[in-house]
Amino acid sequence: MKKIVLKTTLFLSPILLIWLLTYFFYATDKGDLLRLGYIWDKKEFNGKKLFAKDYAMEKAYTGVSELKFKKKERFRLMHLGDSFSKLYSNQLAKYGGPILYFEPLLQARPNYPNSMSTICGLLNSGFFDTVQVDYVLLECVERSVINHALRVEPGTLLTIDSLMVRKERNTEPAEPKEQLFSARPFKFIWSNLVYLFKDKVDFSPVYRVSTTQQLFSTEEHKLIFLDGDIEALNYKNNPEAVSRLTSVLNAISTLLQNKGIKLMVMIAPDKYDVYYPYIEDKEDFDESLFFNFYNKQSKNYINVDAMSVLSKAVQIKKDIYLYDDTHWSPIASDLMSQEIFRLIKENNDIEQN
Amino acid sequence: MKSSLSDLEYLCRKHFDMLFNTWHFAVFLPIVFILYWLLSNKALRYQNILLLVASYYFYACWDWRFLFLLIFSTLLDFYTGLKMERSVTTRHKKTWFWLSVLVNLGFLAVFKYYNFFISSFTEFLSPLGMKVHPSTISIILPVGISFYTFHGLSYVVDIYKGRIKGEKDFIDYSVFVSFFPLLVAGPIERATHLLPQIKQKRVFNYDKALDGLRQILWGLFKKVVIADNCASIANMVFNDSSHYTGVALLLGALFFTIQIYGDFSGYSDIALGVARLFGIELLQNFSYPYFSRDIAEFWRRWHISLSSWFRDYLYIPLGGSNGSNWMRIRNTFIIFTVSGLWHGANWTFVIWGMLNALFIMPSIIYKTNRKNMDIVAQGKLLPSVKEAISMLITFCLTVFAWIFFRSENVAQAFSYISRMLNFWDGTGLSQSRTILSTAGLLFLSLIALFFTIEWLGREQRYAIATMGRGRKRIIRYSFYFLITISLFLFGGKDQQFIYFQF
Repeated sequence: MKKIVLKTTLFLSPILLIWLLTYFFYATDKGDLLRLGYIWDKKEFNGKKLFAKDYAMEKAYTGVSELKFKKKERFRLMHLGDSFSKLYSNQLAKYGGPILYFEPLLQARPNYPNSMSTICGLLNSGFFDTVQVDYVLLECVERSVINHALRVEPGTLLTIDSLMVRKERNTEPAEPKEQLFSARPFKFIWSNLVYLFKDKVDFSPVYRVSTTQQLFSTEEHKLIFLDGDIEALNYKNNPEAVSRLTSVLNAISTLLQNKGIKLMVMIAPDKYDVYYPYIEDKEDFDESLFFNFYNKQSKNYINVDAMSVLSKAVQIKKDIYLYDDTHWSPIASDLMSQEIFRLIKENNDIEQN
Repeated sequence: MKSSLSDLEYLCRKHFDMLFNTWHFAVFLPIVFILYWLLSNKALRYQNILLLVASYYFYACWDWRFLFLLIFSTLLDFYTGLKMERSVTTRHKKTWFWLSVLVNLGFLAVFKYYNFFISSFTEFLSPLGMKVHPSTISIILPVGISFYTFHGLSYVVDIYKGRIKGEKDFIDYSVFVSFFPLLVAGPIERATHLLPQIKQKRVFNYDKALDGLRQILWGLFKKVVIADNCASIANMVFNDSSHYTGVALLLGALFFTIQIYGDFSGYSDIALGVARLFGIELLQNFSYPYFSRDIAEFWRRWHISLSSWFRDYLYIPLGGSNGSNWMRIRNTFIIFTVSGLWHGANWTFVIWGMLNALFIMPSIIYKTNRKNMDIVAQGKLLPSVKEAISMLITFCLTVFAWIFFRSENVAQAFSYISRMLNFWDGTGLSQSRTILSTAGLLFLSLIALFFTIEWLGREQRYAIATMGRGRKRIIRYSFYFLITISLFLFGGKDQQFIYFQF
């Protein structure tokens, strides 16, 4: 019996070794980029620890899923968007309130979550007759915003009843169970070998490039970002597509104005775009011209220029975006919340005058 | 994939189940194995107690609530077995026999078929203008009930027929019923085959244990690499079959055909391999069914433990192949219909069973069902043209029948087939190209390699049993290592074993 146990252990030992390395150094609880890129977690950056205070902030906003709709409700600002929108509700409440958050899980599908279709759906159903807001803040990440505009469904109907049903039915997808047989250990080892020589591994959607200066609280001068940021350049750098985007947003703004609501639009810049000036070797990397085109468009809504705010911030502060994630950090959430309410105040001053 | 499991039940199982390809089992098995053989120097009883405790733990990980049902079923058959053994009169013996049969089948009927019969009855009355609204009950199907119930039934029938004596040792009998490798998805063992092994002292045999590991490896390859990856594609087509047409639907059916074989025979290989690690030989459950030359041969090679169970405990008591043609036709239809129903509470399974009855009928009527008893192209590398054509026809018939097996309902099955027959639809051709590119050239090559290995190993108990014999050890072990690596590279699809829902 001993012989077979020893032989089997010996036979499996290379796989066991790879598995152990993956177990200790593959980050399952860190940022999405480390996970997607199978990047070795050197344990030097821990966003949860670094921003523990911000993540522990007491909830100071109301979610739409909490509303009972038994009486009319009034909020200063309702905000909705993609995964970025989950990051700054408390900060918004800190600078002005009360804040209503339209959770992504309640939003219009398909093209989940398409915030533009969602707003259309709420307008069509009379949602804003029951829930009164002064401002609607629509957020969308740069790499997806044109796609959402091209796929907007103005006929969407999101009644209060359907929201109640969605609240019951929609849940966050469960974390996938750790599989015994999974390619992860092999991908992990292979990708870290390849990253020594290349910026990207074939099966990974993550680029890992050197930067000219230290941008994050890590020892290395490295930047990791999603390949989607680059793939989207096809239409981000297309002035017609950007123009179409603005037309859609202007149309939505007009519809909201008919209800006495002001639209604010915040396009969360791609991490690649914000940190592009600091990439050491730009030979294979084209610059995004999205905000160049977008800022020149005529708008009848309040534009929250996140690119401008965050580009300036990156020059003086580290960790504006999280090193290991596609999303920005609480520092950026705070900066953007301040900017949003500065613009609201500015808009109020203009109206009063 | 259609299932009789409730959502909640499925969620519980996702967290606590003991699938053979999970971490839980990978830790469980070595611990039990080492403890088992450390106890081999002690009394046999300790080994059997360990097996029983391990088996109950194994089952409880699936659903602890139904452990009591399993124990009750075990107690019932043990007790009635003893009572039959000690019965003085035939009448008493019959009473105890029928008590056991009715209670066992009663549990099966309630847990598995209650809602099916109620809704079918309602649907039957509806066109007659009679509206009834019986309540269906929210029932969770106990894992393995179809399998351990049949274990118990075969035991009581064998005692009733005088083939075996009632087992007096409850521990030994419980191990027979609950032996964990076969507890949730077979093979369906016979008391005459398994009980003597349980009652006999097992001595560790290195070659047997190594053989067991080899069979486990091959079983895992069939399940994790072949079946689970085919499942992704089959599910893609079947779950959205109304959007596919022609050749694309044929491909979906083909991938399911491979999936169900890889899944079920893979599970059986793992079960047999695990049992061999403990010095126990289980009944072979699959013998390369897709190389069958006719449907009769197919049913001698597919799910052998179930088909032989129905043959011995239902077909032969009904008269078997004796008597007139009409009797033979009747018995064949009964067997296959019941077999279909055994698989699940859905008319699609019944139709699947009846289709197979229809396919086998000519050979029953003309008494050619025992024509192909040997192994196809035995001792040769390639089959003859006649054999190849026979295998192809048999394969096509089984693929056709599997469409019913896989479909959610009868309407979907018929819709699937009618759309599939539209071969000349250009959309179907482009869809099939998409399906094949989703599968990928590498995986398609792996399927081809898999069937090649199965073909070359068709004269063995499992395909790689003697593969590489005579070659240097480094070559053999490199081959095994490559198979192991492929489990990881192609794994991670997390598909349930199909037969767990039965």
